[in-house]
Amino acid sequence: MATTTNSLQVPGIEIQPPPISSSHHHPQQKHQEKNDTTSTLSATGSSTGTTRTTTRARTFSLSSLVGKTRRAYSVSSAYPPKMIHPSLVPASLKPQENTLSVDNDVWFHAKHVTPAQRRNSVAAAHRKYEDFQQKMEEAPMFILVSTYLNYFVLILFGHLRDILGKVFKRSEYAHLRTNQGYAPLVSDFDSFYTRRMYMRIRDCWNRPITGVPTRITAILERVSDDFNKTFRLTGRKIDAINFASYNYLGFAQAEGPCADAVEETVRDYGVSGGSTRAECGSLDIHREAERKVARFVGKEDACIVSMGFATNSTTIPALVGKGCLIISDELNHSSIIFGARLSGASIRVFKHNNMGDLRNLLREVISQGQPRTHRPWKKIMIIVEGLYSMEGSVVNLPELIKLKREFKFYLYVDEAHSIGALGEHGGGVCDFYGINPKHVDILMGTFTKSFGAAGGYIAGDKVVIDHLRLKNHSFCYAETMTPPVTQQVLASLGIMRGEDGTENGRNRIRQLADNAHYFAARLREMGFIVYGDEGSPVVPLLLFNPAKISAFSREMLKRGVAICVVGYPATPIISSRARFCVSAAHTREDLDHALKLISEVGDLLMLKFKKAQ
Amino acid sequence: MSSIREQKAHQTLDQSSMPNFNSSWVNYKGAWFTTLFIIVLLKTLFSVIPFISSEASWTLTNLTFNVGQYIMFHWVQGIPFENHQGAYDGLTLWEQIDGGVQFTATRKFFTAVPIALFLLSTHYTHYNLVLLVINFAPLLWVLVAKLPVMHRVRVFGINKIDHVVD
Repeated sequence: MATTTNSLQVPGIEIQPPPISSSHHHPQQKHQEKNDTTSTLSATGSSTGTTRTTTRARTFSLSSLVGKTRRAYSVSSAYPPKMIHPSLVPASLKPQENTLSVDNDVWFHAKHVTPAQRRNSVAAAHRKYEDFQQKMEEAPMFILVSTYLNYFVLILFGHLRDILGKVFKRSEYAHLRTNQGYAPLVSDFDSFYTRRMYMRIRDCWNRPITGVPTRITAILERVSDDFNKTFRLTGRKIDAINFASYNYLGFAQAEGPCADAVEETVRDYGVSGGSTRAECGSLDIHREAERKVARFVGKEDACIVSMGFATNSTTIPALVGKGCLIISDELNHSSIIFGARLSGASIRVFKHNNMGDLRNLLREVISQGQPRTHRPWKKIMIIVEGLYSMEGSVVNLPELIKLKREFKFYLYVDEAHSIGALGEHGGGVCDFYGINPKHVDILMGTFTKSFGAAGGYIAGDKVVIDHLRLKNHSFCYAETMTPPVTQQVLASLGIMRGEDGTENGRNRIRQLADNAHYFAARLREMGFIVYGDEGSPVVPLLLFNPAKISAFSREMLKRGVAICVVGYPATPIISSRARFCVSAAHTREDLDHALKLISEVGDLLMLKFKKAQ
Repeated sequence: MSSIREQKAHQTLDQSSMPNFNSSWVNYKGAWFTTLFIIVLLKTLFSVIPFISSEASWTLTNLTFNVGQYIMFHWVQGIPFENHQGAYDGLTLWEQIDGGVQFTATRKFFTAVPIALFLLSTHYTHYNLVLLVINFAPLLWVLVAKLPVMHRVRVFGINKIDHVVD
């Protein structure tokens, strides 16, 4: 399968077949054909005569999924735009003038496209993020008012109970009051939320499971006799369809080629590297993994850190310091915020995925300079995530790169959720948009989600990575990634790139995209308010009311579906949500079954707020 | 922390690194409407009591609303969960709104609401002097607390901000 390996090398520099002749077929053409054989060649040839001159329908319709089994899951391939990377175009074919004035080295037009195709691809190049974007819907006013009143009543009663409890049940509240001259152990207001709100519904989180959490996970049932202060296992196991694990490509398996490779590695290398990377803990397996990851992502070099959170929190201080500016998205993960605060740089925040707000902010900070001295900033770095796990929104990368060219800042993209899950070859958010990864300075990702391993990586230019190898806190102080986990990374990466010679990786990626589209579309069709852009494997379903958080979680557990519910303070106060993480391991039957149950619970809890279309 | 200036700089760092969900709800859709709705509810509650006069119910509504608003916005300090490593310690909700920026739309709204309620209650009490004084005192209290000059100011040591000593 030389062709597939070739096409999987670097996602951004992919050759799309020219219309007339090709020995390399690309399966993601928009055809009615089911099979992946060379019959598509003739179909490719004949399709140019009937190339779509109409623009793609804006609304997502289910029939388009059901009719064509080979539907493209990334819009960049939905138009066969015949884009060729500049370095790969033979000199004779380079056009003299470019139809695209702004982004002429991001996307490149071959000479032999028809005018209709060129119009289409120009249009495609211009309307990138807006195609997938689903605007966050507002709930009807009644729901919002009831949510505020709900919180108001909860807080009022919580405070009342605290006040009366401190008077009448002094022994139980001893840790919150001054006691024989000692200050209170815990500030009662700081812990108010934990004691009065989280404690009541604590059984919805941290549920103990047993076995490998693949598409079905076995939850150990537990009951509480004292209002969730303590739990007691009943001994019963609940088999639930697993929407709570970040198992995007289904690599959380106890059997299979990855597990076999890992077993061998334990025999060869043992279970620990034994030291830090900077001292004597670097093994050849680490270098191999770093090289492979760098090639996969499309950068020169990479470095691997043993913990996903620590990848951000130890790298950002090594990149920026005092006198620099970090601009981070409003809803960035706490690891990024941790690293940013640790670094000592100034931090500013812009509205989530809002490029207009970012532009205004950039104008303000660049014109003002450092606080008090107004000197120019040493460095401005913008940190965004590829896929935000709470909203399911994809970063607006094309606009961001346009801004980067204009304002000349550094860009750091955290692809924790998007690597492996987005893009035609699983190459992340750059692959998803068809943008060359050279435009992003630092690509960070984690292996926890799509690879079934642990830890994270930083990929960038060799110069930057060499500097990081010396200065990164985890390289100096933290233990190395253990050999079995590194082997899992290598094995799953190999499967994703098709190096084992099978279509396993391709199938997984395709299955995930199909599942993600299907699930989100069906939920929207049922009338739920669902955030998340088209194609995102994270599907948040809005609950709004705090009482519905626990009700939804418990009802779904009763019916055998395991989900994650999130509320305040991880999300804004009114938009608590249930988060479904669709996986390639889920079959269509699983999804249908789960959707039926979700609909049931949605009717029971009155969750179908969407205004009738 | 070696100096007060560094202390303040670090607090700003912590405050600006992520949105403050404890205070950002006042800007969301439905928050203003809910405030007005609560006033309506309070009035209904007080009118339902048998043998109560309209003056008394309006006065009670005004009083309860102002007292409740004072406790919620100007008395309680900090945030009720441990997310920001003490960035908002000692700041009341009023001081946290919009990151301390004065004269925003939300602040104007929440200043206008007790004034409007006061005007309504004086109308319904037929401008009786005693009731006027009873209505005016809490209004004055709340309005003084909302003045920009009172940002982070604590009078007579009431509700003092403790400075973190490192």
